[in-house]
Amino acid sequence: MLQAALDGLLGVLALHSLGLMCVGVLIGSMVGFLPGIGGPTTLAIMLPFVMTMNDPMAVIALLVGIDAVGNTASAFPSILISVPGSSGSQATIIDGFAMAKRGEAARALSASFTASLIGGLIGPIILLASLPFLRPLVLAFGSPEFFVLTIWGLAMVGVLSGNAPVKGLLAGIIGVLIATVGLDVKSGIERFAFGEPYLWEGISLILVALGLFGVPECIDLARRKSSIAERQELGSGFTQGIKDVFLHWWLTVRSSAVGAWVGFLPGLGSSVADWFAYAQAIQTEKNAHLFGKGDVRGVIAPEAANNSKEAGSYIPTLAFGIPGGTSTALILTAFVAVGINPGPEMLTTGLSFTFAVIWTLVLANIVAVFICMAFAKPIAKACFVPFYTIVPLILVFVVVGGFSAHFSNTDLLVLVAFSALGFMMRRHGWPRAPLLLGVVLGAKMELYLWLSYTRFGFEWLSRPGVIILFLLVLVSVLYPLRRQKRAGAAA
Amino acid sequence: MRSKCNLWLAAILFVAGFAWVIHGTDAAAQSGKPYYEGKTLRILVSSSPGGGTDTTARLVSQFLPKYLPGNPQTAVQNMPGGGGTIANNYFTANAKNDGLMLFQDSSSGLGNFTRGGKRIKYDPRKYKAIGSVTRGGSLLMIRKDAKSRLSDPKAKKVVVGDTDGIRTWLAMGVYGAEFLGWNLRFVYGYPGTRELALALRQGEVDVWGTQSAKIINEFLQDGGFDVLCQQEDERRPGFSNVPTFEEVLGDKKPKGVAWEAYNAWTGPNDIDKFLVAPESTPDHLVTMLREAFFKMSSDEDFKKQATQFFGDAWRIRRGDRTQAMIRDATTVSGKATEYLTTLRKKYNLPTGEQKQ
Repeated sequence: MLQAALDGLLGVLALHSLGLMCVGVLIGSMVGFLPGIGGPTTLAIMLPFVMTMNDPMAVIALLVGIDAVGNTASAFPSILISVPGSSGSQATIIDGFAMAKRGEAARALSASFTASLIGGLIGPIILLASLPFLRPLVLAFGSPEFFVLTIWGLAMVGVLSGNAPVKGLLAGIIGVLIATVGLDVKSGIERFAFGEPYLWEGISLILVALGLFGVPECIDLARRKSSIAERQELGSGFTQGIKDVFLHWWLTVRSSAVGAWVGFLPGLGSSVADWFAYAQAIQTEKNAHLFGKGDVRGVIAPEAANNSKEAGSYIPTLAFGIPGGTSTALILTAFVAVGINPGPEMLTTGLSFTFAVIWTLVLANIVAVFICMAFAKPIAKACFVPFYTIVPLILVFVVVGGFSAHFSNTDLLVLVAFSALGFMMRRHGWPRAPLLLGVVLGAKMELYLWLSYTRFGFEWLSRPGVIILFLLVLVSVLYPLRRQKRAGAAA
Repeated sequence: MRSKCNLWLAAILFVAGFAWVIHGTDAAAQSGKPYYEGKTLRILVSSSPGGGTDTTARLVSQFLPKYLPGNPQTAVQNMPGGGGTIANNYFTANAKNDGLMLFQDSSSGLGNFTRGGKRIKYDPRKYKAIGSVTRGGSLLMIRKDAKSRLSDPKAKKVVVGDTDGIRTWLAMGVYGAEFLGWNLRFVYGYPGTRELALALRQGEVDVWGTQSAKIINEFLQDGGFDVLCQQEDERRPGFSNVPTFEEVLGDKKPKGVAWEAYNAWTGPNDIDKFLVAPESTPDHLVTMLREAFFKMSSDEDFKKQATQFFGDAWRIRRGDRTQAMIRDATTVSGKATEYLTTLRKKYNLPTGEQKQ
């Protein structure tokens, strides 16, 4: 094993591979910075190029380099302009943007990048530690377990609703309903699509996220006639942000573990990890009422998780050749094209390739955080730019990001519709995060319920995994309530 | 004052951008450069990333431009769902006949068309076929621990898993249940190949079929899995010890309309992964694309990668031949369609028109 680890490291450190990894990190960081252009799009563009390469180590370095860091730089737009840079950094907006408004953008960014680094290091460690158990781990989760996990995710609606639980619940339900729009993937039957081909594919998550968060904040800025930050100074926040992560080290470790765990489940998708981590932070941390109002812990948790998730998603990819998400599906195609065959041999004859993936994940994260840290201070100054300059700029980001959903003019109409909805929700005190979460999880919940019932009837309810997960859901809902009650009694 | 300036600047930029786009289009039309030069060829795929259809599209997107005049850029766009219905409907409604948007579909799209229904808003017979890649007949895999239950009607049913309940290999299961008494139950709705592969390993499903030799060999190497039978008339190279379904049927092989219906269901399997242009694409563009597709098949790198992905049994079919095969595979008698509908209802599989 040591020899394979060394071979993997030497393969990645070869000048050619190292150079390509740095190129990959730069591309991945830029893609993360620009809303709407997701990692999968970039990987798809790179695929024809890498499939002609003969050096498997170089392919690993480039593609894993791109994939590993997309969620690091995506914190920039999430924190600074309330526009999610990638689907994995939606939860960061809630506290990150609130911090930016309070004049703590630099602190939020440095905390985000440090958490990303730690998450990006813990993820590969978990991947390494799970090598002997990879297969039983992945095989433990079937459709019924996935269904309960989606329920668990939706149970977070409660914690994301703040002091408006009914509104939060309704928003979550609307989100789930929105997720049903389109052709039913099982039978192809049209639902709420009104014969419109555009709607057959369903409503793009990126349009919902941009509309709900990006545009309403612009309207608010224009209305206030001020800059994003209410205080015109960066302060000492930058170093404080780094300290915050180590101060909340246990939260960082927990969130990284949550991210890696969500990543290794092939079926939950990349946009769930940050929400799971955010919710567990609210459920387990003290003074939970501060979340949503610019608490640095609300930045640390999702950012640690969305980086460690990438390592987690390599577990099923390497163990079975079953990709954990769209990005790893595309990487898998490239791997096969250059002669790497994910599956059992990745733990025997191909172990050096497995280690090359692990080393690339580690190195890419270090390089990406270094780059982001270098740019954090100058970019954070965007918060002090007056509204008449920053609002058009944000709108350009939002429109370009929205248009990239399908490159259709209808994208812009849908964006306008969700912007109006987001604005009304914001104005009338409706929490927007539960709606987004409903859209993220709705389709998966329906699919896994269908598969669980058609495959097992009602027997799926008696599966040990399902019972354990249901108990965990129950605990995660009741524990914060109990704690809240105690705190109330103590007060 | 500054905000007004910014608004004016935005308006000027918008007008300038619009003029640039108009000018660019006009200039390209007037120049005598190769048709695809500086253009992007978009390939729409009817499945999610990672499966056989997607892999074929990505291979084609990599090698086809090399043989097209002007060597265009390529972009692959996945549009999974409804066994290819979503992408087929979208392609029919939106694709222009300028040769810049092609569609990579699989046998499922043809099967769904044959099955019919209000949601089918496409006609694959009208497409202009550019060519196809076939990977050999489907093989039906079974978990070893489920094998003894297959012919025991009192045992717990063996579960067959599928994406949309229409795949051509599924015909072996349905006809096995109908004519050989196989103790099967059918579950569909899995999003794609990767989820089904995982479900088979987990034991959530016991039987699954695929044409991909690579996937099957991985399962066989793992142990715990057997191949029950294969769909081709002749045994595939590399699987010569696996009987064909006709051999398994033996003297229980149905005759008349029942067998006609079986052939109607499995016919598209021979076409497998095919690339098409929209209905009204001009002949000169179709010829250009077909020639490039066929030339691509002689490319040594293409051959190497195709073998890497599909095993040794893959082959390329020319566009005109593919077009004829699509026509044949989708021309099914009313009696055969009716027979299939009855059979599919019996085994709780989606039946097209009746579902509406």
